[in-house]
Amino acid sequence: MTLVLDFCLIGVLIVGIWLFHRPAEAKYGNLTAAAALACAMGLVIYRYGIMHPFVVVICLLVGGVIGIWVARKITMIQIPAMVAFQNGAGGIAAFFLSFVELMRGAGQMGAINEMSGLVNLAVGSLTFSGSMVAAGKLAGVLKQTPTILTNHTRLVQANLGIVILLMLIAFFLPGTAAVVFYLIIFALSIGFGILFSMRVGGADMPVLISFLNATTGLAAALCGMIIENQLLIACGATVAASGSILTHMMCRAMNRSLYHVFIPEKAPEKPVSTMDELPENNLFSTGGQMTEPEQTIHEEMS
Amino acid sequence: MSNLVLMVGVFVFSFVVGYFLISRVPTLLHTPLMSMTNAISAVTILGVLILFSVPSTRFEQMIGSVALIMVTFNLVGGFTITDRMLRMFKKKQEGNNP
Repeated sequence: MTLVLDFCLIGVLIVGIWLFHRPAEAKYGNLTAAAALACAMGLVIYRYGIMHPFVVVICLLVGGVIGIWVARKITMIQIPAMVAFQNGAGGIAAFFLSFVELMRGAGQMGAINEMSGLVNLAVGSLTFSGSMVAAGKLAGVLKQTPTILTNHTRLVQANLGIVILLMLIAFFLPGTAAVVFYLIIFALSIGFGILFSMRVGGADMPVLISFLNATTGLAAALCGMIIENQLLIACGATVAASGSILTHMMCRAMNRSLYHVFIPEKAPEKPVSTMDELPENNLFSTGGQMTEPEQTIHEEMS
Repeated sequence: MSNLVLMVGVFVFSFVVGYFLISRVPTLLHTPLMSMTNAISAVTILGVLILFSVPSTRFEQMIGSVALIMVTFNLVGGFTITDRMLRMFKKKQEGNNP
């Protein structure tokens, strides 16, 4: 019975995404998905109960009010940066969740649960830092051109290798001694996210955000693995799947390969470096590139 | 173990469904769709709510409430922004076709 309800909710979510195949219906798709998630929240509260209702209600109100307020207040140009920022907020929440669960269940967790928790520490925090770099670039706080360090690829690989090694050590370490490793994994993954997204820039930013979106979905699915909640696993997997397919589609629409977006062979020369010479008011030019397709849409529709 | 099997199953299933769904979405809707999947990815909120369903220490409550605020921000803000984007499109469309 519980599974039937869960799959009904997933079905509603899929209907929401399906409605996106026609512009006129997309709005209802968005509302459908929102309703599905609201029902899922209600279902979880009904099933598990809440121990600290006061704290939960306050947090929901604070987060919700800030969310609506900021989303209403920002200008059109700032939207891409805001999406990236929100994605980062979701990522850090996934990190906190797995951190608490790992501390709570120290020594008495199932092997799969613990492993997903450890992986999620890394995925959550790299999503956070990667999204923050992306948001900074889109908002014009950071330089928008790709920054490539010497031996960049090797640095990324080494970072990833050390994180995986630390995960294995923390996995076999008994009890609460692993907390130090959790924090080191966190710090290194933050570094990984920064290294990863700093060398993407310009028109490739939407692809980066879509990719980070897929990793947040993965983080949600892993959260589901830790606490053994099928609904969370399924929703997370749906987002991860649609996020990665969307990443692929965006690359194809721009005629770029995913590999070249994330691993540029060399520092781009003339065409991109002229971006630096543009006057101040062009800081948001990347944001403009994201909104540009929408303008062509209106023309198509009219 | 059954969870791992379920997860892999759900993953494969959603990949197939997602492929058919998203390959039909026109390029012009990619940005709003991305924004909506961003909002859906805040399902982590279910996990954070479950975090509060057992007795917890003050420290856990603190971390949990930060996580809850963050994820609610992502959830509510994500849907609001998507709604704004889609609304903008609709207005233009109506304006152009009286």
